Amino acid sequence: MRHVPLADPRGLADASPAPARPDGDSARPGASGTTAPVIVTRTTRRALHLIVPLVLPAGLLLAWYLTSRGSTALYFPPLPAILADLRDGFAGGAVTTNLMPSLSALAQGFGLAVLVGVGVGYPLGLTRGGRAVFGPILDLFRSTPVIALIPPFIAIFGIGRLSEVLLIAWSAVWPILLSTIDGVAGLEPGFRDTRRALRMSRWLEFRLIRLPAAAPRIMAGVNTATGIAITAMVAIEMFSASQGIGLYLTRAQRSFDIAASFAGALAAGVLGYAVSGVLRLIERRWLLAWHYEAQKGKR
Amino acid sequence: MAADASYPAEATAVLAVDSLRMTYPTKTVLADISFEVRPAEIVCLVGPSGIGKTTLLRCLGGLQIATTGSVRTHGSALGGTPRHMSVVFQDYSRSLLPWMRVGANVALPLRAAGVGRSERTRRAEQVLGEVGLEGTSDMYPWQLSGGMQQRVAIARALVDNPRVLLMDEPFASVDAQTRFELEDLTLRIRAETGVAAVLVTHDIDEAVYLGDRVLVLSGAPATIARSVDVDLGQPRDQLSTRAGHRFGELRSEVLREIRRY
Repeated sequence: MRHVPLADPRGLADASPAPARPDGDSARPGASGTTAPVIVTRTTRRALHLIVPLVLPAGLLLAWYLTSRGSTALYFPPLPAILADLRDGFAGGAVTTNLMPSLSALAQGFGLAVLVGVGVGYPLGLTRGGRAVFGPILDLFRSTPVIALIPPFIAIFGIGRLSEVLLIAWSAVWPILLSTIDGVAGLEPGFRDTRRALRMSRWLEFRLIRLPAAAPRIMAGVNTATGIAITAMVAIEMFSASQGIGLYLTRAQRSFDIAASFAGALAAGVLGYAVSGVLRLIERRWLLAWHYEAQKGKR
Repeated sequence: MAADASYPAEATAVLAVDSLRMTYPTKTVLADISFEVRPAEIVCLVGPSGIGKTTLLRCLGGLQIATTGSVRTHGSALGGTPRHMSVVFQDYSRSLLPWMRVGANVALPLRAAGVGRSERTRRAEQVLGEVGLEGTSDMYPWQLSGGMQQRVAIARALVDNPRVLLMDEPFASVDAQTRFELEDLTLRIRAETGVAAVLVTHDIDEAVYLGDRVLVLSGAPATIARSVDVDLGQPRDQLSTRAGHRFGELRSEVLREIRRY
């Protein structure tokens, strides 16, 4: 590979005369050059694809590091101090007290929300009357700020895990429920005919037609619900938990440990980002892979 | 749609429509429709758009219930298509499930009928071969061309060995070349399997080319204004059959009947 033009779109033109040379076999290095430029451009493009989104976050971190370095201001601790707290608070052994309780409550509450949201939304989506009856009350529940519900939830379910799981479920269930109703109600008439023409049972119809057809919309609701659920999780932990990110934050606040409160906020942010990222990955690669691929094909 | 166990010998008809009438609150769409379909016969329904051809086909397939009259076939299924009947819709993209691979789509009627997995797979491969789509069962429908997708839909319709195919403008969404191929595929399948077909089309040439009989629907409410026997013989050929004198005569006969109203 004598002259492989890196990321040069005209690289092809440069290398293509090689195989046409009369001295055939002796020109083999040139022949490999005919494909190399394309591969290099593609790899470069792929690498850019990965790097570009990281530029801004990395830049911000760097700016943060540079401006806070050696800072003695009480409310603006140096980044290394924050990162040290982050490591002490959310890595190694501390994971079991500060991170895992939050994560498992989130998983339980969110799982409950998905079950209830899809389970209740499905029949409501099938019946026009159901929507009319439940619509307004759903809108009211959905619009109530979840933080306002912390006191009544604690009053009813007590301080601790039960309240947390239920509040997370409550806050996450509405977007999932509404998107399930929409998705199920919006079934293409063509698919309905397919069910009847194929003599499918209601159960098979649910599993093979209705649910997959509604899945893209349901997942849109699930994505909306993640953010809300994490908000609910941190909020109620700050009030009433015995462990978890929220408690970590409250403790930091009460003891005026500013670096630790930055660390807690950072941990909550990263957790939220990671959870929704994982969900989206599952959705794109597995649950709705057909949907995204089919969309791509249409373009 | 009542099942009639005492239906006479199969050789007579695989589908018998008697005085079928379809009335909506505001108007009557179909009135006094009676005809029979014999085994391996292709009957084409033509008529002006909006006349009720699709409604009639849906009544035959149990997708809609006729107001009065009867559709007699062997066996029946409540609220659906009788098991020995299959429907091929015009819009394959709404009829094939995009989240299922081609093989699973084709095997769907068998799955609904409770057939085991290995038998389903075997049979799906077999009919995919019959429609010229070997080796596509692991692809998704939307990875195939329109004509190939309609072939998948036809394969799915054939998978459970039906006696009657109901086809609603099956080739209206594909280009002309593909259309000819699919028409010949339909004729070949009929010859090989002996399946009968009722085919709705707005294309008079297609009706004459494919049909053993062309039923012209017209009037309001629509009735069968004319039944034209297509005496072109078999096999048919896109070039010579369509170029023949008799083809032109039959085509004019059908067209004249449609134009009368």
